[in-house]
Amino acid sequence: MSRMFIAATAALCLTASAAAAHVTLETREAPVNSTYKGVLRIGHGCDGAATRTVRVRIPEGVIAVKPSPKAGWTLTTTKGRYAKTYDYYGTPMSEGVTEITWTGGPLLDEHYDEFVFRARLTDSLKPGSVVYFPVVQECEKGVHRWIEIPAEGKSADDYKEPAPGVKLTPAQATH
Amino acid sequence: MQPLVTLVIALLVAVALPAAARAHASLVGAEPADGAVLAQTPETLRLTFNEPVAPLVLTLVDAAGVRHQLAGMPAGDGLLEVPLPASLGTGTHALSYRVVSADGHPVGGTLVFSVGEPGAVPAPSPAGTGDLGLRIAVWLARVALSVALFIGVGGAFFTLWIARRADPPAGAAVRGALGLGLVVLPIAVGLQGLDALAAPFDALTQGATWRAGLGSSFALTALAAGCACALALGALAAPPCRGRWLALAALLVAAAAPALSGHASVAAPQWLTRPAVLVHALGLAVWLGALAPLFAVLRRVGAEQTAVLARFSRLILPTVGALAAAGIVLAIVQLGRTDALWTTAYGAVFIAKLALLVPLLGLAALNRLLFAPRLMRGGEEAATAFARSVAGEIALVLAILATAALWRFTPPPRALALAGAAPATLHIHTPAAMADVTAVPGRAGRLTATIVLTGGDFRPLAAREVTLVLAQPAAGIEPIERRAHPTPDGVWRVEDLVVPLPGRWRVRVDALVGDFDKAMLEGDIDIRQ
Repeated sequence: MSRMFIAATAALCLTASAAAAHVTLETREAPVNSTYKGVLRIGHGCDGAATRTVRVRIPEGVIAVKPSPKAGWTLTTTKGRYAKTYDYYGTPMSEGVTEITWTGGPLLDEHYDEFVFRARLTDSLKPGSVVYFPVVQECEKGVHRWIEIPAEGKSADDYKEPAPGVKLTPAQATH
Repeated sequence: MQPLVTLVIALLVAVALPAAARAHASLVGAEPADGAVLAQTPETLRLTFNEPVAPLVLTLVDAAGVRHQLAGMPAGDGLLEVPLPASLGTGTHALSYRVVSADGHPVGGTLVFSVGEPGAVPAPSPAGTGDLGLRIAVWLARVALSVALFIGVGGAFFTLWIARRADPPAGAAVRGALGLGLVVLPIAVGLQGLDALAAPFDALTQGATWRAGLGSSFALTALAAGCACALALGALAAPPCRGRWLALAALLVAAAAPALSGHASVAAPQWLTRPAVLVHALGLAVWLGALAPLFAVLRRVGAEQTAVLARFSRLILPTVGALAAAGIVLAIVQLGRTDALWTTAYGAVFIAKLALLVPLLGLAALNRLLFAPRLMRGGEEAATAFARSVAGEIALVLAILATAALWRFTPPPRALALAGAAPATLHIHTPAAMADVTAVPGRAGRLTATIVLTGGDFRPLAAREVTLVLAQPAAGIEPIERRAHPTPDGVWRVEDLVVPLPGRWRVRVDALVGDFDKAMLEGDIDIRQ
C-alpha cells in the first residue's frame, strides 16, 4: 500500500512538472554521443495572440542539426562556426546550423503544433547536466522568450519562461 | 485496496487531462490596473485571466501594513472578482494573488494600487520597541528630569537671584524637585539602556543594560543634570554670596544638559540647534523655576513682595522672548514642512504643546500686565488673584513638560525625511554580469529605481530590455514586475514603482542581452519604513 502511495505520488509529481512546462521538448532525457530528435511543443500563443515565428538556438556541443520543414511555414537556418571542431562519424565538423527559424502559420492560441529537428548530442556534453535549447516565440502581438536558464540550485519551475532542456545521460555502449 | 487504486487513477486522470492542454493562466487585465491611482476605494477588484482560474491565496496588504486574507469569486471567463474591505483607507495597497489554472499550475503576482495619494505610507509608529510599561517608565523619568532641571534648578536660581531671601520661598518644593532629580537620573540611565536593547524590566539587573545606558548620549545629559541638581542643592545650603554663584553655575549646567543629547541637539545645522536648545532650556529654567517660589511669595504678604515682583517683571519679558525665539527656530528645523504638523506623531505632540502654551502665555500676560502692576501699586487684594493665576500656570507647565517628554518617542519629521530620503542600494555580482540597483527614497511607498548594468569584464553591458522583479516570498508577497526604461546615459530607470511594505525584498534584474540570452541577477534589498 505504501509503495503504491509512493508510486502514485511520483506519478502525480511527474504530471505536475509536465503541466508546469510551457514550450517544451517532447523527449526530456537523452544520452550523450547520440542522435536526438527534438520535438518542440507549442501549446499556446502569447496571451491569446497567434504564433507567427518559432526560433530555436542550438547550444554548443550540439552539431549536425537538420530541421524538419513544415507545410505552411518557411524554414530558414543560420549557420555559424562551432567553438571547436567535433568528430562526426570520422568527419571533422567545425561549423553548422546554430539557429533554426520557422515563420508562417498563424498557429492560433487554441491550437497545438510541433516543430521538429534532428541533432547530434556530442560527447563533449557532460552527462548529468542539462543542455538548453532557448526558444523565442513571436506572435502577432507580443513575444515569449523561453530562454531562462535556471541558476544553480533552482529548477525550471522557478521561472516564468524557462528554456526547454534535455537532461543528459551517460553514453550508451556503441555496437 | 481496490477503491484506493481507483481513487489514485481517478486523481491521476484528473490532473493529467487538463495538463494535456498545456495552457497556463496569465493575467490579461486588471481593474484597477496595476499601479493605478484612484480617487476612491473600489468595492471590488477584478482580475481577468486568459482562462478560468480558482483562487488559492489572495492577500491584501493595506497602506497601514495590515494583511487581509480575501476571498475571490470566479465570475466565469477567467474573471475573478475580489471584494475589498470597506475600511480600506488612502495610501498604497498591494494585492498578492496566487491562483491555480485548469492545468493545476499555480500562477502568482502582485497588483499594486493607490487610493488618494500614491505612496502615502502611514507615519511610522513611535520609535522605541519596548513594551508599554517600559515606555511609561521612560516617559515618567523624562518628566521628572524636566521638573528637576526647570523647577528645581530654576527655583534655586530664583530663590537666590530674585527672591534674595534667607528663608527661601517654597524651599521644600524646590529641594524636593532637586532631590527627585538626583534619585531619578540613575534610573533614567538604566531605562535608557533597557529601551536601547529592547529588554524587559528585569534586565535592569544586568550589566549590559547599564553599559548600553551609559554608552548613549543620554548619559551625558543625565550626568550634567545630576551636577546641576547637586550644585543647586549646594547653592541653597551655602551662604547667600557663594550660593548665588553656585545657583548661576547650576542654571548654566542645567541648560546645557538637554543640549548634550536628544533629537533637537543632533539636528543640522548644529551651530544653530545646540545654542537654540541651550537658550530654550535656560529660558525654561528661569521662567518655570520662578513659578513655585513666586506663588509662595505672593501668599506671604510683605514689603519685599513688590521688590521681588519688580525684579521678576524686569527679567521675565526678555526670558520668554528668547525662549519663544529658540523654540520657533527648533520647531522650524525639526518639522521641516508644514504638513508634518498633522501627518506625524511629532507634529501631534507639537500641536498639543502649543494648545497648552496658549493659555499659559495668556496667564503670564495677565500676571505681567494686570496683576503685577496692580500689586506693585499697593493693591493687596490683587495678590490672591495673582497667586491663583500662578497656580494655574504651574499646572499648565507640568502638563507641558509631560507633553514635551512624549517627544522622546517621536522622531522629528526632519529626521524621518532624512532617513527616508536615503536610497536603498543593492549590488549583484555574478561572473557574467553585475547590476547596481538603487531605490530612491529607500523606504516603502512610491520610489524610483535605477539599474546600472555591467558586464563581467567591468564594461557597460548593453541590454535590449530590462525588467525589475520584486518579491517578498517570506511574507507571501508574489512578484511585482516592472519594465525599466533606458536613459541616454545608459542607466535603466523604473519610475512607477510602488513598494507596498518595508522589509527585505528579493530583487531580480532580468536583462535581455541577446535574442536568446537573458542575464538574471538576484539579490536582496532592504526597504525601510
